[in-house]
Amino acid sequence: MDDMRMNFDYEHGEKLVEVKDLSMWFPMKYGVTDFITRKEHRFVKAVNNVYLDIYKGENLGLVGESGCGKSTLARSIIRLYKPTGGRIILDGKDITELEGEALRLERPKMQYIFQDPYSSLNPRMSVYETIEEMLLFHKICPEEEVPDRVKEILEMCGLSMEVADRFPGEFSGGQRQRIGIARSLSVNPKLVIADEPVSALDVSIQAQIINLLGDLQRSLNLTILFISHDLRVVKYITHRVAVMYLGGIVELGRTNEVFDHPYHPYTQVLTKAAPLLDPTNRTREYAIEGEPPSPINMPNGCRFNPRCPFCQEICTREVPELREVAPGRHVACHFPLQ
Amino acid sequence: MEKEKLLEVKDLKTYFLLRDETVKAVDGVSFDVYEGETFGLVGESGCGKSQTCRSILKLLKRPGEIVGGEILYKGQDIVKMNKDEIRNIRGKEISIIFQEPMTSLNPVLKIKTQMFEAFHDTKMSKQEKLDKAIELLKLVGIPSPESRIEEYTHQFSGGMRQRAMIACALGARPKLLLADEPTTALDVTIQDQILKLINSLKDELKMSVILVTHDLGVVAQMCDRVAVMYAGIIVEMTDTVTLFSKPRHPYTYALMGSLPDQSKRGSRLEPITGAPPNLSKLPPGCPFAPRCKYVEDICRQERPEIFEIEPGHLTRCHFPEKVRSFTGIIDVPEQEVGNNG
Amino acid sequence: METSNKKFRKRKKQDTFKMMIRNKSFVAGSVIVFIVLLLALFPGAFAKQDPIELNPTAIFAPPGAEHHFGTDNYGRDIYARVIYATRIDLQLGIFGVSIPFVIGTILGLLTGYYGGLLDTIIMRILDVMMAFPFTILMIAIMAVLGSGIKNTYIAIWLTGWMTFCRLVRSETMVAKNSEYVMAAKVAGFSDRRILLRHVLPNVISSAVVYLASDIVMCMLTGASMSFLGLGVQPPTPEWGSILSTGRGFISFAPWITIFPGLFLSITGIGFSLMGDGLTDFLRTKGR
Repeated sequence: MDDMRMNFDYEHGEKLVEVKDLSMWFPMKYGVTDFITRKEHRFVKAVNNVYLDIYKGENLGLVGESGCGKSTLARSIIRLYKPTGGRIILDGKDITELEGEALRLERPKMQYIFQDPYSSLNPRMSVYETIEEMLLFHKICPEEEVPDRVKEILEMCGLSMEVADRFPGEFSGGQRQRIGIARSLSVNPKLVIADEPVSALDVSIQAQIINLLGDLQRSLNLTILFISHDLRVVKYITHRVAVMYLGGIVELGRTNEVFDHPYHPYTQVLTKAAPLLDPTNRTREYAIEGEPPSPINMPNGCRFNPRCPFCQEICTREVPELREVAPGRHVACHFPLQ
Repeated sequence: MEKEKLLEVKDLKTYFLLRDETVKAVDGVSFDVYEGETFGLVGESGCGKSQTCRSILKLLKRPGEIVGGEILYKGQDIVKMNKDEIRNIRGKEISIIFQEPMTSLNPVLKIKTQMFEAFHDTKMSKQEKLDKAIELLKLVGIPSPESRIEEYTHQFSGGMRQRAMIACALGARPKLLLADEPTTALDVTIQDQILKLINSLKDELKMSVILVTHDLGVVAQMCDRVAVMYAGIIVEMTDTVTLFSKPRHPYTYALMGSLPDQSKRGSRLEPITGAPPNLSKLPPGCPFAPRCKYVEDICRQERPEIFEIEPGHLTRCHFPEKVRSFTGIIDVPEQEVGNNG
Repeated sequence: METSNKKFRKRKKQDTFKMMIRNKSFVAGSVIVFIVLLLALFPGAFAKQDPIELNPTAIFAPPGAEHHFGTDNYGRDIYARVIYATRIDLQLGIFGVSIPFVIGTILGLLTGYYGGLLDTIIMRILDVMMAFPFTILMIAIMAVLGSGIKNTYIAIWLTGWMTFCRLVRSETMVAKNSEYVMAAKVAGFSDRRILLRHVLPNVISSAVVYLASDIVMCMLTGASMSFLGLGVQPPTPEWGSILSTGRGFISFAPWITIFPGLFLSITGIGFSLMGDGLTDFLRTKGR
């Protein structure tokens, strides 16, 4: 148990999800006047050509600033959106093109935990009804076993059966997040995407939920894609981490390696910018100037080049590919840091 | 302390008087802010830190009301001031910036118009006002302020909006800036920029800052002294280095213990069990008692008084001998702590 | 184990009941509506006289022991007429509103959730219809269809769905993007289930509240159509038509107009209070 997080075996790991060249563009509103003036169709290029493998039983972190496309990537992976391009393979099955009933059958395999525990639960359904609906709809267990199963799931998530007849409005944020987790896990998913599950919670409650996720992952052998902007949490909980910037993955590798020795300048910036918990060590220089450009008008070449302190001529021309620079370490940079 | 007190808050009580209950958001808070220092108010949501901050400018939302205590700014009691007197303080002597700049800036007015409000009753010509506003925008690091001043808030990004709001707040060169979670809605890289901006402006304008936050990292990087709040009261108050090296209240200690940290990887975190109490139905004893690991019978019956456990270090706990053994998340040699305080 | 399944459902109902009882305006409104309902169901128990019987000997009799509310120009007992009219007016209100409510809600759900071409078409129809003043539109429809109670209903149905559709549509558009609907999609639920179980309960409250006040509106519309001579035809007693007859004699026989007007107002207040109470209670329950 000591440090199973660190010693995750990737060489012999089995891939649960393979994301290949995934792009997700959202068309911008195209009005009548745009049509008359023959304006070009414009897109919000939220995700661009992403390759990502998720191994069975791992906890993969996905970090980046707001608007970098991490939620969109995650939501495309579980097919809440239909990707603009690329392929998604879940557990050996291509789910990119699935629709209707065929997609519905795959749904229990991939579940999502939402950020905001205040809006992700239907306010007019009791905890019991919420979970019961999941169990019955996907025929997880026969009807007469539902109460037992609900009890089991709630207790697994640190809630008692006494709360089952209450409505989401009667709970605190931490408890609601537990309900959200219980709902996701009720259908025995293989992949759980946790989208900022603790960022809406207070520090003291955060730790409870992080522990719960860790315990559940170990006992159920879950595969988790953990999205967060909080590096402290990501460092603590994940095995590997992917850093996203403006719709693309810029660095991927084992969590401690990535944060201890970042190869991509953006990763370095992120680690520097997070406030240290040490009042005797105060840095006074800016980690980075400027703000991320909008995903509608992407810069040419490397997307990070306008803010990059090491930008060279080639960076403004050519998009760097995500390539393996060391075993298990991928970086998308023309001049990786050493 | 050689420095002068700029603001003294004495036994401040801010209650929300609802139809069938009274929410004691701030229940007897006392602290001083010295000239030129950054004072942190830290705590979890609902602990009363924001209400304390808003009370200082009497910006409470109904039905919130200051029901007791004094807020002395340069010796004058803000609580007793009438509307006109308080208006002479707001924005001129004490300014405030909020968490969400989108909601505190007016979306239908140009940045220019909103900035002019800051010096509306000075006898400046339009051109002078414009120059002053551009100078302020430059000060807060907005690029090409001459053209951006003509824009609307929705054309600004989150970080730029926060900068613009700071510029508005600094219009009349206040002596005290109240920053209510100024970076909570921002990304880390932008947070970093804004925090450093506040720091440099503080030095440049010789302001004091009261920084309200829930993020211990922000406290560590920004504050000179800190008050930790829980359920409407201050449970611990000291200088930042001491707080992080020798916390002397079980809540502060537990809060630090529940922070995820790379050094703890693989081990379980130690969260604080349960949830913060309901502010309208506070238990009779110490409000932290139901969640405290070291709780004893007296904690549930009697509310502890705040006392000086070490020079300049206040805590509110029945068991000073227990809390004396706590170690923080940083290690600082004994002498250095003294120097810093 | 089956019992526990039921137990969890039961609590929900008990809570609802308790909250309703505690709400003052809801209780007051319900009492009024209940009394009006009694009048409508058993008019004979309250009024002994025949509402359409002419009595040439007692024309314009003022309110008194024999004729509680007086008589009209044909000597008909106003009290009896007003009581007997309750049924038809209440019918107007309730039938007039229920069908637009259902149609409007369904259309609102569909247009709000799916958007697209259906939304565009229905919204344009709505825009055109809403461009006309309501009463003018009613009169126009009545003029085409001809007068009578049946056609009054049709006219009310044709115009009534619009507000419900608007209300439900805008709320659905908000709910559509909420995380709990997203969560329902992740769960793989069908559109029908998402709409009925997850969206509908969360968007219906404003429509239900409007329903109560729209009943009043419908009754008034029915009454005003009768007043104009387009709706309920004499001698059938109806508050609007009684008002209309009394109009000519208001200077010397005000009781003919006062009492039906009073009943109309009280019933209206009853439904409004109920709607008010519903608002409070639906709002608090959502939290």
